[in-house]
Amino acid sequence: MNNIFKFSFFIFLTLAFAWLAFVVGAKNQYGDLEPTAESLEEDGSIPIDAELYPKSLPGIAQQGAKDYLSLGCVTCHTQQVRAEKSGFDVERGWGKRPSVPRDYILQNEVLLGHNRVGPDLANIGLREYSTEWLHQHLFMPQTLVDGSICQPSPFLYDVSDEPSEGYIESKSDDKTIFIKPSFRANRLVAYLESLKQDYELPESHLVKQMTKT
Amino acid sequence: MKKTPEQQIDQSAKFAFSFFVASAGLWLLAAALLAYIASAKLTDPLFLSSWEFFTYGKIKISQANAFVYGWGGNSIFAVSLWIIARLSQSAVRGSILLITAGAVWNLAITAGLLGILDGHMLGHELLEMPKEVWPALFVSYLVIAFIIFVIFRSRRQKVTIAPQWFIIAALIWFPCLFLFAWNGLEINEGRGTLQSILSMWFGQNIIWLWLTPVALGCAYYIIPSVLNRPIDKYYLAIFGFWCISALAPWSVVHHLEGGPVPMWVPAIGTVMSIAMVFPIAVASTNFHSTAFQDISRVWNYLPLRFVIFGTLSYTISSYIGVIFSLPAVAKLTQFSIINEFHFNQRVYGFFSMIIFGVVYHILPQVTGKEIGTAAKNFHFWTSALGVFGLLLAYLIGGLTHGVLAQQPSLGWVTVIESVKPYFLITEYAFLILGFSQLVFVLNLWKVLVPNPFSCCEDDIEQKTA
Repeated sequence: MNNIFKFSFFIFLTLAFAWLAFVVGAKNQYGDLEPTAESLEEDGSIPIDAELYPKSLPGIAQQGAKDYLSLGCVTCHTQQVRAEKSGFDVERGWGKRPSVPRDYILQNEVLLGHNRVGPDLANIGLREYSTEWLHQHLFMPQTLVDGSICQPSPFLYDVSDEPSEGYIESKSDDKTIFIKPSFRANRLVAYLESLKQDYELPESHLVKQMTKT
Repeated sequence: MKKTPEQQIDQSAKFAFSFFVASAGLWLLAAALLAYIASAKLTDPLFLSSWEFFTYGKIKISQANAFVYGWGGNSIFAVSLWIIARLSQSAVRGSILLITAGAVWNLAITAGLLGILDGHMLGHELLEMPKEVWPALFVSYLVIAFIIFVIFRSRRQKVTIAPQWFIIAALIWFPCLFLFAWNGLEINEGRGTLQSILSMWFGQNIIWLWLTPVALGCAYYIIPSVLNRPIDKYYLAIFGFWCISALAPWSVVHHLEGGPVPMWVPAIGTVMSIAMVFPIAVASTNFHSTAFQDISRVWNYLPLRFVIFGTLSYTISSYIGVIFSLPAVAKLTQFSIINEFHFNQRVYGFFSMIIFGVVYHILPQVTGKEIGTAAKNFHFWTSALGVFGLLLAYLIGGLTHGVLAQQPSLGWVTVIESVKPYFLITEYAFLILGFSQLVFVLNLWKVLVPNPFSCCEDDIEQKTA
């Protein structure tokens, strides 16, 4: 306690042990997960010609992930469906099954988040929203969802009073206006549409009875 | 007139201490402003919405960073420098180096926050500032910590006491944590949710192993030295210290309960969080059974009133935190605005309150000037009111949020509608807190930065006298 070198060493050790478990140990356990088939052969091998999951995101969606990150969407939205015994996420219809580590291995930005002021987005691509709806929602959420406190992002759109090629109808102060998504808005929507965990994995099967979507 | 050794130490620390406290004050105001904007945007999403710069996510994250690294970092440097120098009975050397490093630290945070607002943030908790600023932050931190270490090494009294353990340990933990996180997140990047575990671990540990121990160390220093009586049951302190050191790094990952990570990770976190009742009980016993022996002195000496407010808030809220880490409760509240309760309790209710008290205690000794009692009292009562309102709103709002979210039949907007009144309360609370901190910082600057016009008045006064 009185020798600063010994003391510093012990202080370092307190942290290093936890690091060994949560970083080195966890990496050993599942750092080398690979895409796999929905179900395996009896001997544990992947069937020939089987589709492999998870699929990597399309390029435009990977770029969209960066926009999602830079706008700080993660402060209000999670992207994880909790296990059934420790959450109500599946009952709420936020996913067909709990998320597992393998779902995230091909994502460059893993944005699990830990606040839900807005709904979970792990399966936003599975909900029946059209591309127009997503754009209108990004532009001004309040025109679509009454009482929403989601932040509008009008700076991602070109606004015009006249309808023309590539413009989407929206509303502002009860007036019909037309918005044209910028490149970033398109990437962001492509990313949102690509978020879906609808495949089965050997370690996680789809939950049979869905209460509500 | 010959100076006492204490006065000589105060004299040597004056330059660096004033610099750190003054910049900490500015960061506090910046964070208060950002906190107000963020909370106002939650009650009215259209507020300032046409500028990308002011998007809620960016404001919220830059507020946390300004608070932890700007206000937290600078005030940690200031109080640890002074407390370590005083306890070591050795003068502060290298003031120029300290201030240079401090200036680099502040510039790097400024650049980092502008980077976040400009859309270059990283996706790791409390490590969101862009990559480029971290080397500057890290090196300037090492310089400052090294100088404090040199002062500590040259101490007269070889036997160390509780405040020294906590402060020195905090100074060591930060760079270790940073290196572990930087290695795992940027150099040997783990795939998938490995990053999430590490990011959670780092972000929560910054609060638990950097801000918390410094505040505890300050309380261990100021309570006995003001009351002039030993810490009651002091023999427990060493147990409490090693308990926090051993348990806190494990306990913080309980926030991942149920998530896409191996089940043992949140399980260990939960067990260790429950075990945290021991160090919390030790610190609370040490502080409060000492302070309550002379409660009138605590009440009448304002710095101590601040500190005891902080330690009481630490005790109560840490126990609440233990309850919320139990899986049955976490199921409801894990992702609710209870998280805001935990964060704001740590940084406002506990850390800031103790730092306010310690700064009020040190300031007259270092500068020889006192802040007016009315201003200090105003600061105390508005802070107490603001913190109380804020935490209560987040606590009750978080419970409402969690319980209603569990009903699948309720639409999400309905859930949020019922939490909105609490967002409104927090907006007012942040307004009160911001106002109270403005008074604090204005007075601080008045004492620290001599008014260029006041020298003449002094001359005149001396002549007339």
